[in-house]
Amino acid sequence: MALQTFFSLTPKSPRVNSYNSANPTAPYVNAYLYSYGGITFSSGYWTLAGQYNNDEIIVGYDPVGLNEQTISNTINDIYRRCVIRIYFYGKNVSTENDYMLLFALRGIGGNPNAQFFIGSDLVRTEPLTADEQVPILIPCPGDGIGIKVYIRLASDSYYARMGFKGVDCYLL
Amino acid sequence: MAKLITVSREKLKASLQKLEKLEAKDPQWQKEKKEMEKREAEEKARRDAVFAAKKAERQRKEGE
Repeated sequence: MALQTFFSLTPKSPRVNSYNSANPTAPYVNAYLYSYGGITFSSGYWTLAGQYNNDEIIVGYDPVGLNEQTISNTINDIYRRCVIRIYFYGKNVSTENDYMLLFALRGIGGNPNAQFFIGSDLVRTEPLTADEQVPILIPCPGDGIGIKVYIRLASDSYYARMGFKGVDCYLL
Repeated sequence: MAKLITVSREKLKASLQKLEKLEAKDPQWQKEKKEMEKREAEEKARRDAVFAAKKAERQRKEGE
């Protein structure tokens, strides 16, 4: 049986509210996408129009070092860096559910690595060589309880860039 | 495809609590959160009102 997505976020569709008045007791979600540290150039898919047409956000040129692995201050460690932030909470869900998230990323240059934080803790650093799909399984913390996932760019080179094409979430 | 990332329920809970403490010192997030909650409540109320109006209209037509 094919799984149906619980929600999808992309740069062109950064907000989901799936509440359905006709079925108010069914699981639904409020989900948000934010990004920090975006870049544009003067040609090709680097332009704002190019990123719009590809439904992709490109962030870069301000990665954290590979040895920086914590979030101790939201302003310095998130907003002032190259970060994708997903925030969502399910309603009419329970701790018996799980969320399966599938992120679509792209490494572009400068030895980019994606640091995945769930809440404030780093759970994986994924090297990005080209197009990369990264799956994350998160236990549902309960009805209406929000989850934040941060994808922060890390590299030993200032030149690192990363594309974010979207995330699909499945409710299990 | 990268290897599956998993997190235990206990670690998730602790990590979310830690983040909540950090965000308590983040006025920007507090402001965004309030706006989100307001917008979500408005959307829900609007959808419920539209649905109730359509339902009432349907029932009225069925009664004719």
